[in-house]
Amino acid sequence: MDKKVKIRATLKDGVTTVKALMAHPMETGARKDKSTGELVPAEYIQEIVVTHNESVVLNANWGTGISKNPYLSFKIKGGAEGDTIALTWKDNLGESGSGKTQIKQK
Amino acid sequence: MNITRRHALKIGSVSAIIGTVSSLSKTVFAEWPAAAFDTTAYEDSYAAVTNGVEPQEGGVNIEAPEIASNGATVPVTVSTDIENVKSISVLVEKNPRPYIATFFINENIEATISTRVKMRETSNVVAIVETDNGKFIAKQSVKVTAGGCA
Repeated sequence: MDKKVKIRATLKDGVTTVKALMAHPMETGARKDKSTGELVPAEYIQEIVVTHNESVVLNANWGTGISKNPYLSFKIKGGAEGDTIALTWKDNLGESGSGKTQIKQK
Repeated sequence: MNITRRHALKIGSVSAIIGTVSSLSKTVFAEWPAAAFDTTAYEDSYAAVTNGVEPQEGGVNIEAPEIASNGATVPVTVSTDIENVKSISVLVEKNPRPYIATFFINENIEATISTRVKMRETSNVVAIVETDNGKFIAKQSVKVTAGGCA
């Protein structure tokens, strides 16, 4: 379940607000494990793709500077109740995660 | 027994995801700019993001706390009223790797992005907005009282 993305999309006054929370360590590769003294290998999300009913509306390139368990929020002009919003991420190790939701009217 | 079962479940779910991602990746994942993200001096990160187009000041708004008690998660919102925004990039001047992220949006997305960034020390947060009519920049200082490992 660690690859799940929590995502919510709420429609209000003609604007859909999307909020997503990804479970990911976002290790920079420069942090030392306190118990072993060894560097923790880099593990961070590099790419994000968000689709609205299958068409891409937002994508992103990330470095190591995004916080652990990344949060992303943005607004879509329009959108209709029941539309599908999906987010997929890919990290530097080739792992990926995704989540999707339906727009809810507020 | 338990381990094998969990392992099998994991492999199952991962391959299911890889299936969807590989079909996606051909069309939508752009080339991740490794050289730009590897820059360690702010000047180099800035040059990589601006790519020869000097940004103008004004029109871009950064919402971030004046004082961040935890540098590991500093909430940042970048917004602009400028039209035809293609991308929004975020940098932190004094981080070991100053280039944080670029968000590419299409015309159906309002030019407002919120996320959380790591900050090692007190620094300017910089937002660079790319539009059809050039680039625009804003900076805001955030005082960090306990640095996050950036």
